[in-house]
Amino acid sequence: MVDPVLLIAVPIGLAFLLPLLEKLGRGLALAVHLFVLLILLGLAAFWAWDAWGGAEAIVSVTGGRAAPLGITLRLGLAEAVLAVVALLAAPFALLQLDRHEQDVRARMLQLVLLAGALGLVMTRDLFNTFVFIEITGIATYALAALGREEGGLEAGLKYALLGAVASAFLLLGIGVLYKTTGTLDIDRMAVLLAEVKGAEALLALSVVFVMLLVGFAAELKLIPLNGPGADLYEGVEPGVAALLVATVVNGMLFTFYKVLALLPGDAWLTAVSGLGAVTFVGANLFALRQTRVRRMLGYSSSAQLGLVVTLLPFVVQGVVPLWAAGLLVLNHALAKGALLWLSSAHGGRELEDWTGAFSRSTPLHLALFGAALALSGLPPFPGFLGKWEALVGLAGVDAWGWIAALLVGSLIEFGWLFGWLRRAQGANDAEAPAPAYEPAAVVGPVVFAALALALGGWALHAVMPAIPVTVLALLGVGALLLAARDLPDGVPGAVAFVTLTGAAGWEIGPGGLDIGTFDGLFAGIVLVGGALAALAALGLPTARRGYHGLFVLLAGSTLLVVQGEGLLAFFVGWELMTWTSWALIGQGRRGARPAWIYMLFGGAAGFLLLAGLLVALGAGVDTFAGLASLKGGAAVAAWTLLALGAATKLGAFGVHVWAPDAYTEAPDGLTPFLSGVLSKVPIFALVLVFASVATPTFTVAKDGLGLHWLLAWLGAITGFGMTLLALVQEDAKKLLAYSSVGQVGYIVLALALMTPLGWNAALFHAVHHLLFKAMLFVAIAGVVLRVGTRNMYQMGGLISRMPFSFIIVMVGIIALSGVPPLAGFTGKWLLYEALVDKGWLVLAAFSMFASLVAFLYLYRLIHSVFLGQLKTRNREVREAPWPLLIAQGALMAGIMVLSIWPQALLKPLQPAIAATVSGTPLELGEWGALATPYGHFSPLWMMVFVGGLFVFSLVALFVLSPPIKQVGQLDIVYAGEVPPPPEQIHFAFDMFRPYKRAFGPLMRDLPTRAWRGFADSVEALADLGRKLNTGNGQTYLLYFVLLAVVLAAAGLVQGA
Amino acid sequence: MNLTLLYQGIAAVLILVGLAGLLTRRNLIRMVIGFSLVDTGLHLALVSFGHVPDATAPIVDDASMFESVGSQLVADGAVVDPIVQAMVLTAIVIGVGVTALLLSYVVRLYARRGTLDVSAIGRLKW
Repeated sequence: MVDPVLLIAVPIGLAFLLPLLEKLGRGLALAVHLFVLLILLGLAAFWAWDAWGGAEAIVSVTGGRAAPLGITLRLGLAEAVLAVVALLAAPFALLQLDRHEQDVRARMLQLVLLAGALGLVMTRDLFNTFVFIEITGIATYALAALGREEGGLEAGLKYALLGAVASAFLLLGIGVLYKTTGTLDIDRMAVLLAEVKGAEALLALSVVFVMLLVGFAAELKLIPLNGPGADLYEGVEPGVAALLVATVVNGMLFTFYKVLALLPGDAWLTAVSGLGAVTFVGANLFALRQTRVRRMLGYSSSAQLGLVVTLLPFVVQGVVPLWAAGLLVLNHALAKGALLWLSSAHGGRELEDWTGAFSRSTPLHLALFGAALALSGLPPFPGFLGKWEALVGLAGVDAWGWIAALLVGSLIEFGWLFGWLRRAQGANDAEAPAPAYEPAAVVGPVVFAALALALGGWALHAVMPAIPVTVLALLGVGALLLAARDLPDGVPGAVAFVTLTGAAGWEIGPGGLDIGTFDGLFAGIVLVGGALAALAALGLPTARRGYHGLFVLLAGSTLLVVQGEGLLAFFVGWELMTWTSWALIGQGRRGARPAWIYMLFGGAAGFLLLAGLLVALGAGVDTFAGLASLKGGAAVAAWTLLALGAATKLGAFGVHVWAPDAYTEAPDGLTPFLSGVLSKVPIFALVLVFASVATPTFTVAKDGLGLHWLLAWLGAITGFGMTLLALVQEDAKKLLAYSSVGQVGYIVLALALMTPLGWNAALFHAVHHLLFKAMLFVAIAGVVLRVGTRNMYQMGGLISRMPFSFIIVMVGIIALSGVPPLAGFTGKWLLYEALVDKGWLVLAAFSMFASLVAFLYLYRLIHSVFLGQLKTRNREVREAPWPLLIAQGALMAGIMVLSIWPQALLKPLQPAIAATVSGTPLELGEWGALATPYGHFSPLWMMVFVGGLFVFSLVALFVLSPPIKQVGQLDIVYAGEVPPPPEQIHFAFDMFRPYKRAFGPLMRDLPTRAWRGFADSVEALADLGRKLNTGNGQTYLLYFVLLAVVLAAAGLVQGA
Repeated sequence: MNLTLLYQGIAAVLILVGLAGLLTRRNLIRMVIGFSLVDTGLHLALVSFGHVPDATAPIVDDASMFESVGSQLVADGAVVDPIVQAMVLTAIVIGVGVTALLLSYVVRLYARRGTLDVSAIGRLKW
C-alpha cells in the first residue's frame, strides 16, 4: 500500500535533491522535477478516483505511534481532490517559474510549497498544521523575495511581518486548545471539546477562538487584513501568485474548515460568516476602482476566499453541502490560476494595456473570457453550481441576510470583472503584428480554462434534468463555432444559419412544437427570430470573429430558458443568455461600454430573479408549477422578486437605462434578436410566475387592486415614457430601441390584467412585436449599411434608392401604430377591450394617449429617412443586400398572416389561456372574426375594405394628378451664401423641439441621470474603502491587533 | 506562589511588549526584535501549559516503555508534559527561520532603498 505521506515526503526530498541534479544539467533537473510531479499527480488522481468510487478515507499514522504522540494523515475524497488540483497546477507553474526566474531555488521553493500545502490538507494534527502553515509561509516569503520584480521585496516583507505575527497567534491558540483538551489530534479533540463545561474552560475556548480567527483572517486575506495579500499579488510575478492560488490558498481554506468543525457554539460561526461576507462584498468593491490588473486580481482572491469563508460555518452545520463549497474552491483555483497566468503572458499592468488583449490569439482570448466568466460564477462553470447549491442551502434555513450579501457581492464582482473584459473586448490595432506567446505561457491558462468548463459542464449534467435535444445541439454547434472562430469569413455565418433554420424546422415539423402552450409559443418566437436574425446577419459585415458561434449559443440558451425543465434549467439558461448576449453586444463598434452596463443590469435582474426562485427553492419547490404551493408572505416575496427581476430585464421605466444604448450599439445583425426575442424572455418569466402564483394571494387592497395593478401601471408608464424619449432621438436605431422597450411595457400591462382578454392581447402582441420590430431593425440595418450613418438627418429621400426597404418600414410603422388594416390594430383592440373589461379606465385612457404620441416618432422615422430630398452623397446608394430583404420579406409575410387571420395564433392558445386565467373569454367567430361582449370585428373584411380603399386612392392619384417635377437638392439656389452647418437647418434635426419644450423634464432621461449619480457614489465608496490598505506594513499589523481586540470584546459581550 | 501563573504572566508581558514594539517602532530591525519578543513570550507560554510543579523532566530511558509508562507519568504529574516541550522546540526552530528571513528582507530592502523606516516602504497600496 502506497502511503499518502509520500505526497509530502517526495516533494521535500526532491527539493533538496534538486541542486545536485542541477549540477548534472538543467534539463535533467527539470525533467526529473516534471516527472515526479506527474507521478504524484497520477497517484493523487488514483486516490481521488478510488474515493469517488466510495472507498474509505485512507488514514496514515506516521512514526508508528497513534495520536497524540504520532501524527495522523487523512486522505478522503475532499483531500484527494485538493491534492489533484495542487498537482495539476504544479507542472504549469513549474514551466511558468522556469520561464521567469530560471533559478533552481525558485523550483525548490515550489516543491516546498507543494509539500506544505498537501500537508495542510491531509494532516489531522493541530501542531503539525502550524508547522505546515510556517513551511508554506516561509516558502512564500522566499519566493516573493527571489523574483526579479521590484515590488516583490516590499510586498514580501509586509506579507511576512503579518504572516509571522498571525502564525504566532495561531500557535498560541493551538497551545491553549492542547491545554484544555490534552490532545492535538483534531478528531479526538472534537469529541473532547463537545464535552467541555465550566466557565473557565469556555472562557479559554473563546480566547482560542479569537486567536485562531484572527490568525486565519490574516492567512486567508480577509478584510481588514487583505492589504499585504493584495500588495503581494501586485508585487510578485503573476506566475508566483498562481502557484499560491492552487496550493496554499486551498490548503489554508481546508485547514480553516477543519478547525471550524472543532469549535462549538453558533455565535462564533456568525462571526466567521460575517468576516467572510464583509470580505466578499468589500474586496470586490475595492477592486471596482482598481486600475492595476494584478492588484485587482489580488482583491478578487480575497473576495473569493471571503465567499467560501462565509459558507464554511454553514457547511459545518450541514446547511450547505461540502461539495458546493468545494466547487467554489475548485472554480477559484482553476479560474484564478488561468487569469494569473494570462496576466503573466500579457504583461499589461494597467487596465488600459489590456485593450484588445489576446484578440489575435484565439486560445488565449477564449481562455481569458472563459476564466473570467468562471470567476464571476456564471454557467456553465463550476462556480455557478457551487453558488446555486450554497444559496439553496441558505434559503432552506431562511438566511436571507447572508443571501443578500452574497448576491450584492457577486453583482459588484460583475462590475470590475466585466469592466476588465470591456477593455479586452475593445478594438485592437489591426495593423500591429500579432504578438508571439511562448508555448509555456499558453498551455497553462488554456488547460485550466478548459478544465473549468469541463468540470462545470459535468457537474451541471449530473444535477440537471435532461436538456432538450434541440438546445443541446444548438449549444454544441455554438461552442464549436466559437472555438473555430478563425474559419474564413462566411463559413461560420452559413453554419449558424443552417443550424438555426434546421433547429426551427425540426422543432416546428417533426419535433411537434405546440404553439398552444406557453413554452411552445415562446420557443417558436425564439426559433423563428433566431433563424431570421441569422439570415439577416449573412447580409451584414461580420462584427467580429466568434460572432456567429456566440449567436448560436445565445439562441440555444434562450431556448433552454423556455424549454428547460425546472427552476435550475431555467436559471442556467437565463444566465447563459445574459452573458452570451453581453459578449455579442460588446462586439459592436462602440458596444463595449453599453455591453458592460447591460451586464450590470442583466446581472441585477438575474440576482433578483434568483432571489425569487430561492424563496421557492428554500421551501422545497423546484418547478414553476410548484410555485402554486407557496403561501402568504412567501408567495408575495417570490412574486415580487421575480417580477422585479423580469421588469429589470425587460427595461421597465426606471431600470430601462441599459436598454437603448445596448440595442443601438449592438451589431446590427443582433439588434433584431435582442428586441424581438430577448425582450420576450422576461415576458415568458412573467407568464410562468403569473400562471402559477394565484392572483388573490397578493391582492393587497380591496377591489382587486394589488401588485398586479402596480405592475400594469409600470408597464403603461414604460410605454409612455419610452415613447416620449423615442421622439427626441436623432439616431434611427436608438429611436427604435426606445420604442421597443416601450412596446414591451404594453405587453406587461396586458399580462398584468390577469384576464383572458388581457392575456390574448399580451401574447398576440408578443408575437406581433417580434415580427414588426425585428423587421424594422433589419430594414434600418440595411439603410445604415448603405448610408453609413445612423443619424436620420443625414438620410432622407431614400425611397427612390431603397424602395423595398421603404415599403417594409411603412408596413412596420403601420403595424406598430395600430391602425387598420394590419395586426397592430387587432393587438390594440384586444388591449383596450381587456382594459375596459377589467374596469381600469384610467389606464385605458393613459395608454391610448401614449399610443397616439407614438405616431410622432413613427412619422419621423419614415419621413426623415425615406421622404424628402435625397442627399447628394446618397445618390449612388443601393438597395439592401438580399439576405436582409429575404428576412424582411419573411417577417412581413408573418405580419400579413397575423393581420388577415389572427385566429391562426389565437385559436390554439385559447385552451391554455382559459386554463390559466378566468374572466370574460374572447369569442372566435366565423371568417376569422374576433368578438367580446363589447364589440367585434373581422380582420379579414377589414383588410379587404381598407385594401380596396388604398388601391382605389392609388389609382386615382396616378390618373388624376398632374405631372410632377422632381426637385433635386441642387435645384435649390442659395442667395450668395452657403448656410452652415447643414444639419441644423435640416428639417429632421431636432424635429420635435416644440414638444421638448412643452413636456420639459419628461423628455429628458431622468432615470439615467439618477443611476449615474448612484454609480458615482458607489465608486466614491469603493475609492474610500480601498484607502484602508495604506501600504504601510505597520498599519496592517495595527488592523490585526484591532481585529483581535474587537473580536475579543464581542466575545465577552456575547458571553455576558 | 504559583510558578505556572508567574511564567504565564511573564509570557503575557513579553508578548505585549513585543506587540507594542511592532506597532510603535518605525525602524524595521526594531520591529523584527518586537516579533522575536512575541515569539519568545509565546514559547514561554507554551512551556508553561505543560508545567507541573515539582515534576521532573520527561525523560524515559527505554523507548519501548514510553507509550505505556510515559502517559501515566504525565497523568500522575510526575513529569512535565513532553508534548509541549516538543512543540516549543519545533516552534523555536521555525521562529529562528522566520526571524532570519525577516532580517534578510530588511537587509535587501536597505540595500535597495537605503532606509529602515517601515513607513517609507509603501509603494504598493490601495
